[in-house]
Amino acid sequence: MVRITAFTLCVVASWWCVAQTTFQEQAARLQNINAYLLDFRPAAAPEVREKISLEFVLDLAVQPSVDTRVGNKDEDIDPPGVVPKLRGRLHFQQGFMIGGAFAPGIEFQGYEADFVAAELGWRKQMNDFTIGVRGSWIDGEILGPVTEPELDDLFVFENYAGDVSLAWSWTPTWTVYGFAGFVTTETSLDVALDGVHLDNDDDAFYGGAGVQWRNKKWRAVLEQNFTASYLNNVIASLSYSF
Amino acid sequence: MTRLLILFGVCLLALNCSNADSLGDEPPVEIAVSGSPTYLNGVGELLKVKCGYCHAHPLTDLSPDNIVNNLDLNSYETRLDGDLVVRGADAIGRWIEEGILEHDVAIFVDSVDPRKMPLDYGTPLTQREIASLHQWSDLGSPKGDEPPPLAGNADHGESLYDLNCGYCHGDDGEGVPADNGYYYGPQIRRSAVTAAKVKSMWLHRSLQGSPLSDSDAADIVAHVVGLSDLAD
Repeated sequence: MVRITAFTLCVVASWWCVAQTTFQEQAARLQNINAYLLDFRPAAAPEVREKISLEFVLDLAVQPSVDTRVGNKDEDIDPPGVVPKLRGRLHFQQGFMIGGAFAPGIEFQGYEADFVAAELGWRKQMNDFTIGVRGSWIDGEILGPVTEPELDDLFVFENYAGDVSLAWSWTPTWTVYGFAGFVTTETSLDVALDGVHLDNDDDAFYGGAGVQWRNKKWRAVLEQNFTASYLNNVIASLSYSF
Repeated sequence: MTRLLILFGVCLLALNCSNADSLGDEPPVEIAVSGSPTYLNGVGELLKVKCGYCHAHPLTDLSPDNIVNNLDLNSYETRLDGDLVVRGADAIGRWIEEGILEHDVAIFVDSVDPRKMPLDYGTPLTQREIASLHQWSDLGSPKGDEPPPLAGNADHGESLYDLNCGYCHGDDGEGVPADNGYYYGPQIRRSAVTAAKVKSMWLHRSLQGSPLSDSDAADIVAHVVGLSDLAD
């Protein structure tokens, strides 16, 4: 009985300690959530093309609702509900793929995004299954009301990630796939209101699953992403290959 | 049909899974002070966690642009850094007593966005922490390992006081009001008459430019505790 009581007290004490937070922890976690939301995820099943092809892609990452309170600061921030990203992929016959994305200071719903991203992958097909490995990098900044409406805070992020994936095509049209990876990020946030600078770095495991529909040169993807305990988000993707 | 159901399930799962786990609902960390609060018993840790990330010397990246650059709440003693007097936690008891934790900060009072300490994004102080800081202030902001006070020479202390302290605090410690409702020097609190406080004020306010010796501080304390108009 004594052991149970002591154990219970320890659990309760641990829970209480974990439940309390500092503004530094809150700010770091918010930066991580934003960085992982902007990460350069697969957003497609791995596949090997019969001939070299160039693919243009529109990714739409659903922005989840985020409690942005840090310390006493709880502003009514209204970020976009969807974050778009234009990317391209060059598929080679041997299963290699290189891809990239670039946003030269595009303004979207009050936020100015400036980023460059790249990915390199290798895939191998075995009957209905395809395996793939991929590395990605994204470096960018978002200028906009991150902590305070109508002020321009600067959020800078750089992510390096690697993942492995497995896809199963159960018909020529439909493919399901899953992936798992590891991402490391460095971020900073410059708060315009007071000139405060917050640095942060973090790493996390991520994974996900998706379903892909293909019709000749078109393909559409719906992908569920999970990033450690930070974030679950959906990416919808539509592409056309030449 | 089975495939369509699987596909439907995957889509349904996906569409329901956009969420983020922030720490926005979590209460602020609380530094509990048990027993009599001193800088070494809880208050120092409290000040470091809740104040020292901004009020540091040199300033940190977290320090706002317009913050004072001569207050370091990560240490107790007021000190000299070259010609700059860097005030430590020994200097803030008066501000706590005057309500800096309850009232808007002076530089923001007339702004459209009055603000309190800790500012906005800082980790808020809990009511128990505020109570501990007030109790510490009422005790004279002790460090906690003070040596027994030296026996001072009140006559020598009087001459030092008259030359360096009385102009602002008055001949009997009653304080000297200024025209704008402020004080050149407030009425001296009896509990704050410690050698540490006297040495801190000496560095910050006197024009001597060098630290006060322990024996001179003891002399001033011996004189001040005998003044007739101290506040309790």
